[in-house]
Amino acid sequence: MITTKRGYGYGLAAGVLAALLPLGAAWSETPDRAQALAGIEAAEAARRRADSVGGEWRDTAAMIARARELAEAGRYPDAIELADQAKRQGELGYDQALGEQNADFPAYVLDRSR
Amino acid sequence: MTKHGFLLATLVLAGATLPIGPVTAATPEEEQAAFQAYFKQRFPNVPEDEFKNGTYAIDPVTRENWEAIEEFPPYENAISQGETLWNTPFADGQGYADCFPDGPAIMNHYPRWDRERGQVMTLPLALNACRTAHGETPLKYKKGPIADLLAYIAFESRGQITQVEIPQDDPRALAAYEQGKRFYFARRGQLNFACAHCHLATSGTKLRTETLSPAYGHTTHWPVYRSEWGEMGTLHRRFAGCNEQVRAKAFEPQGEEYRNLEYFLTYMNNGLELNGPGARK
Repeated sequence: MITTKRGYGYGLAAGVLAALLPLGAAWSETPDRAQALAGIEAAEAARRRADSVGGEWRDTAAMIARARELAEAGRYPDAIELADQAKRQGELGYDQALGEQNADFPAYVLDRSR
Repeated sequence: MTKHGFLLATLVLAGATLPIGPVTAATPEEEQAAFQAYFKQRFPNVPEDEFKNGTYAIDPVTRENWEAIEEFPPYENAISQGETLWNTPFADGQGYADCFPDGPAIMNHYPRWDRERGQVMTLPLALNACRTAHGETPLKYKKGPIADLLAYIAFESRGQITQVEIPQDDPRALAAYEQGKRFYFARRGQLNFACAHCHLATSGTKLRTETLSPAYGHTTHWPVYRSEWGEMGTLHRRFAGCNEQVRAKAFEPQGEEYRNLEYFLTYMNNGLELNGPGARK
């Protein structure tokens, strides 16, 4: 009987856990401080990479600073969104600088003197 | 595929993905001739010696305003303050005249290639080198006393001719010129604009209410009193402002990027008369 009660108890616990699993998954998808800080760190890394080739854009650092403020205020979704935008700016600035490293006189200028 | 075949294929692929540049490499002399010819053809009614006046050489309406402003030049105080600075001895009893015996009319000596330092030497950098050599703190490079000093030197140098040289026997000088040129033509910032987009290809057109000034004449008149600033500012301050306008992070004034840019751009303006300090909107 005791075994049966214990078995019933385990079954109930398993049922409750199974019922709560979807809720748990949903809860874990809600952005939290750790996710926001990770996003900000990724943005900062992208900004530094762009800066290393002279390709940083004007507002990227300010966007990251604002994202930090939002995270500190507990506005994690807003912080993550802004950090993602800053990260994208860093990536684009890096690619832009590399793509322009051989920039030169356009042919329409040089050709005029020939 | 053979080793050579692979190499050839790689080079062809790389060539196909590189940005389109000039068909053949040109020397600085050829590029300078092309640059100046471009503006003379773009603005055929502007006399060559008028390009030093920037947008006021091509826009009669803004020229009228500018000429009215020049009747009571807003840079006059800067000239007199700069003269005082020039003549005030340092704590060790020496002064700027000891560093620059040809001074104060030395504007056309800069920018120049400095062999010993292996870098472009600009006038603001030379002034601060003089100060630090005599135990004085260096001046900030965008505005304030450095702009006053430059205003006095520019005023005393009026009438001199831009004559930047790229020494043939020092490849580092040519490298600095090339870096400055690449900076000038490189797209940057969120707006993806190069300096050349506004001041070469679309010079003379309107950006909102403003007429975009030709690059030919951009280096003749610094420092300037800019109405937008409400004060004097240096060439590198303007470089930084332009970079920020295309939403790029500005570089440090008198850092290598802007020094080389100044070297390239001033070389492009060789032959034009120096007429600083200036007044601009």
